[in-house]
Amino acid sequence: MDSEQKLDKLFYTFRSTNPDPVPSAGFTPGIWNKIEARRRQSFVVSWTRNLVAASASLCLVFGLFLITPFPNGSYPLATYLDSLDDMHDLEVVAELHQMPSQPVDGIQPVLVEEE
Amino acid sequence: MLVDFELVKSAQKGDESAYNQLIQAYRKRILGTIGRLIGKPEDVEDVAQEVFVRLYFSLDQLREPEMFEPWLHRLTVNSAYDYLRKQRRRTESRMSDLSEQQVVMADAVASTNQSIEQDRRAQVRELVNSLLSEVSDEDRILLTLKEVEGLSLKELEKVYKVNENALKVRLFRARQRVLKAFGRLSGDKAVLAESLSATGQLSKGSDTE
Repeated sequence: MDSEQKLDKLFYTFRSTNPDPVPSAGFTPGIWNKIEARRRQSFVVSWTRNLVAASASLCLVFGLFLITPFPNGSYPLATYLDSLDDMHDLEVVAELHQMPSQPVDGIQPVLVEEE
Repeated sequence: MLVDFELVKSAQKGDESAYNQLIQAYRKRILGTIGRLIGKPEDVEDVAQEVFVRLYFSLDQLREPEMFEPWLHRLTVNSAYDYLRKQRRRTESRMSDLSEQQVVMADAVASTNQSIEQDRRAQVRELVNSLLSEVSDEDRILLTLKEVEGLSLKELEKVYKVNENALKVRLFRARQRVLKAFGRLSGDKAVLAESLSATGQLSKGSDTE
C-alpha cells in the first residue's frame, strides 16, 4: 500500500471515528442568547456612533463660527469707554462717571477726586 | 438540501420559527464538520453557535435560496478559520509559558482519564491534526472539506467562489505537503499510521457510533 492510499485510509478512519455529535440541550437556546447579545451590542454601537457624529458636527459648526472673520473695521479693538467717548454720548458718559450731564441750577458739577 | 427553499425565504423575512427549523435541520451536520475541522471537541459547540449567529445576521444578503448550503458552508469555513487563527496565537503564548516536561505531564494526566477507545480515537485525531498542521489554516480547511467531508470540486467551487482549476492546484499542493509529513512520521505516530493502514479501522464498533 503506497503513501497516497495510506493517507486516504487515515482520512477515512478519521471521518468514521469522529461522527456528527449530538448537540447538547443548551445548544439552540445558546444561539438565541448570542443573537440577542449581538443585537443589543449593535444597538449600543450604532447609538454611540450617531452620538459621536452629532458631536463632531456640532464642533465643526462652532469651529466655523469662531474662525469666521469680522467685517473690516468692525473688530472691537477699542475699549468700551473709548467707544462711548467716540460716540460723544455725554449722557451715558456722565452717568458712568456719576455726575449730571446738565448743570443743575445753582450747583456746579464737582468732579470727585480719586484718592 | 435538508430543507425546502420556502423555509429559507421565510427565515430571510425574519420568521424566527423558520430560523429555528433551519437550526434544527443543520446543527448536527455543522457540529460534525466543525469538529473535524478544528479538532477540539470542547470548543465545537461554541464555534458552531457562532456559525448560526453569523447566518442569522447575514441571511438577508443571500440572493438565491438555492445557494443556501454553499453559503452555510462558507460561514462554517470562516468561523473555523477564525477559531484556528485565534487558537494558534493562544497556543503559542501558552506553550511558551510551560516547560516541555509540564506539557508532557499535562498530556499524560489528560489521557489517563480516557477509556482505551476514546484514547485511540484521540490518537487518530491528534495524528490527523499534526499532519494538517503542516499546511496553512486555509489549506487545512480546504483539504478537510475535500478529503474528510467529501465535498466535490463543484461544491467547493461554490463555497470558495474560485474556479475549479485553482482549487485543484491548491488541493494538490496541500496534499503533497501532508504526504511528505506522513512519510516523515516516526515513533508512536508511525506505528499508529501503520496499524490503521493494516486494519482499515480503529477497532470494532467505532464506525457505528
